Amino acid sequence: MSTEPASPKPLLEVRGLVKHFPHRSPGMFGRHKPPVEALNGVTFDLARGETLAIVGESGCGKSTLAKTLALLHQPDSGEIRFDGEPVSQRGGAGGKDIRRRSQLIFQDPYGSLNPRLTVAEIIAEPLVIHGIARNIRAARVAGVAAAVGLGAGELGKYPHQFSGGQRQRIAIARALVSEPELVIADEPLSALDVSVQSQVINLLAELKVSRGLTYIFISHDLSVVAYIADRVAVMYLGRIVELGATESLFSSPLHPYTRALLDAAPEIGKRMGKQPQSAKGEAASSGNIPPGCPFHPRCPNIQDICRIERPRLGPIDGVADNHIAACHFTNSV
Amino acid sequence: MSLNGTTSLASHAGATALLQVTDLAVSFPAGDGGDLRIVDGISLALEKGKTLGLVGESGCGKSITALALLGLVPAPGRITGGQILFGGTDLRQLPETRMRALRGNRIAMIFQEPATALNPVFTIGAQIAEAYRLHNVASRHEARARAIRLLERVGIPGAAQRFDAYPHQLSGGMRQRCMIAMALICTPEILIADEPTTALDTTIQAQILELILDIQDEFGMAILFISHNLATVSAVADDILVMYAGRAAEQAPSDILVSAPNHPYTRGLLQTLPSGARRGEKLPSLPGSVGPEDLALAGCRFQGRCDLADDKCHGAIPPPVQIAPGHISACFRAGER
Repeated sequence: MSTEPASPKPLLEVRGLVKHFPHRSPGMFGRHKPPVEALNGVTFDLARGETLAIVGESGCGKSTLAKTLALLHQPDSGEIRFDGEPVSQRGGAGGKDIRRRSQLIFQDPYGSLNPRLTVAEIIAEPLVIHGIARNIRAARVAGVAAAVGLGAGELGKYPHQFSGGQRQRIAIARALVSEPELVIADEPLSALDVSVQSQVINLLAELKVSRGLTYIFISHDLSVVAYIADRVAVMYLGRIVELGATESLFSSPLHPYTRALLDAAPEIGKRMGKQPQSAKGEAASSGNIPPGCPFHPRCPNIQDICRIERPRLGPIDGVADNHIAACHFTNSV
Repeated sequence: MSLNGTTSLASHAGATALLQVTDLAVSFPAGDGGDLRIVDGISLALEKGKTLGLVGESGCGKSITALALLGLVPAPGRITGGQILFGGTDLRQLPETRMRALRGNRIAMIFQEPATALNPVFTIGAQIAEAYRLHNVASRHEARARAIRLLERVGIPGAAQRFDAYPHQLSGGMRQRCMIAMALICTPEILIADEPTTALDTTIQAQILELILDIQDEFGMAILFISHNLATVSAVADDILVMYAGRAAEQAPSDILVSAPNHPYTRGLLQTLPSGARRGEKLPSLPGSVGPEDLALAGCRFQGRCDLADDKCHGAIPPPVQIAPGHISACFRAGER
C-alpha cells in the first residue's frame, strides 16, 4: 500500500455554469421583459466527503444551482462532471445513474411529501424508479428508516400524522434510500421549529459519517453554516463572489458582500445598531444585473473600476490559494 | 398560586406601563365540545420607549396574544379571561366602535408578510393616507403631504413618486418600509410588530430592524416585537418573554435571558443553537416536538420534553417565580438555579 496521497479526484467539478430563464411570452401589453439571469458562470470543485455550504440572499441563484446540479434544470452552458464523467448533456447515458447518485432534500417537508402515500411508499419510490426488485425494496426501506430514527411502526402512516421535524426525517430517508454519494440539501431546516432544528442537524452530521456522504448545503442561516460546513461559497446575483474554508471565510472575509452578510446576521446577544451598516440599499433584480461588479451599487468601498470591469473570482495576494474572492479591492475590506 | 405570580409581574412594571395585560386567556373550541386554551395566563406590560420581545415556536400563541390586544382574535376563538388595561380602560370592555378608533391610531401593528398585508389594487400612498384620514380630520392634500414625509422618513427613495406606486412594483424590503410608514402615520403610542423581518433577506432585515429602533428613539412608542428567532429578538428587545404552548415560560431583561436563562425550555433552546464555536461537537437537542395535544396536558406543558420533570410537573401548573427583579420563570425548580 502506498502512503503517497494520490491527488483525489473531486466528486463534482462545475465549470462556468450558466442558466437563464427567458420569459415565455411578452408581458402584458406586449412589453418584453429581460430574462432572469439566475446563474452567470458558476465554477467550483467539490471533494468527496466534503460539506460545501452555499449562502446568499433570495434571487442569488442558490436554488437554481441546486436544481441544475441535481439535473432538474438543463444548464444553458458550462459543464458538470460527476466522479469524472461529464453529465450536462440532456439524456446522457449516465443521466439516470447520476440522478441516483445525487439526491435533493427540499426545504418544505409539508409540500415535498405526497399526502396520499404511506411513509414506506414515499421512501420506496426512488427504488421503484431505479428498477430495484420488489423483494429487495422492503429491506432497504426499513434499513434507511431506522437510520433516520423512524420506527417500523411508523412506516404505514401518512405524512399528515407527523410533525415537521419527523417529516424532514422521512424526506431524508427518501433521499438516502438509493444510496447516493452526493446529497444536495436546499434550506432543509428553515421550515422547522427552532427546538427541532438541532435534531435534524445532528442527524445529517451522523449520516454523513456513517454513509460517507458529500453534502451541498444551501442555507441563509450563517450560524448553521458555521457549524456544519467545511467550505462556504457566497453567491451574489448568479455568481460565486467568495469561496473559502469556513473558519477562514468567517474570521477574515475578503469580499465586502460577505462582510455585509456577516455584519447583518442576527446572533444571540448581538445588539442592533452597534455595527456599521456595510451594505447600502438592496440587490438588483436578476433580470437587470448592473455592469461591472454586480455588487458595486451597494458597496461601501466602490471605486471607478468597479462600475466598468467585472472582477474575476481568483486568488488574492497574501491569502491562501484555497480562499478566493471576486473583488478589485479585496485587501481593503 | 398563579395570582401571586401575576402580582409580582405587575409590580415589576410599576405605574409606568402604557399597556398592562394580566392573566390573558384565549380559547378555541375543541372538537370534543370543550375549549382549548391556546393562550393561558399571559401577563405583560409595555412601557413608553421600551421594546418587549415575545419569542416562541409556531403555535405557541404569540401572534394570537398580539391580535387579542387589538381585539382581533379570529373567530371561533375568543378572549376568555384576563384584563388588557390601556390608559386606565380595559380594552375587553370597550365597544367595537371605540376599539376601531384606537386600532391603527394609538395602537398600530405591522405584519410578517407585507405583500399580503397591503391591498394590491390601491397605491401605497393611498393606503397610507387613508390610515391617516380615518383617524384625523385632514384634507387629501394634507394627508398626502404627511404620507410623503413619512415615506421619506422610513427611507423610501423618491417618496413623492413612490406615493403612486402599487405594492407589486416594490421589493419586499420597500413594502415593509411602507407598512412601517402606515403604522406610524398616526404616531401610535404602541407598535406591535409580528415577525416584521422574517420574510426579508439578511442585509435588508438588518436595515429594517435599525429603522424600527431609530423610529422608536424619535417617536418614543412602546414596541411589542414578536419573533420565533431568539437572536433577532435579543438584538432589539429590552425585555424578552418566552412563550411555550400558550403559557409564559420565562421573562427577563434581554441580556439576562440569553446569558443566564432559568427555565428548562429557554435553556434548551439556547443550548441547541448551532454556531462556529460548536463545530465538531454534537448539538444538544430537545427531545420530541410541541403540538396541539400539549395544550390538553395537566400540569406543565413542557413536561414531556423536560429532563427535570417529576410527578409535581405532571400534576400542577408551575406558577411564575420571581428569581431576580424583572426575571420570572414558570418552573417548580426555578429556585434551584
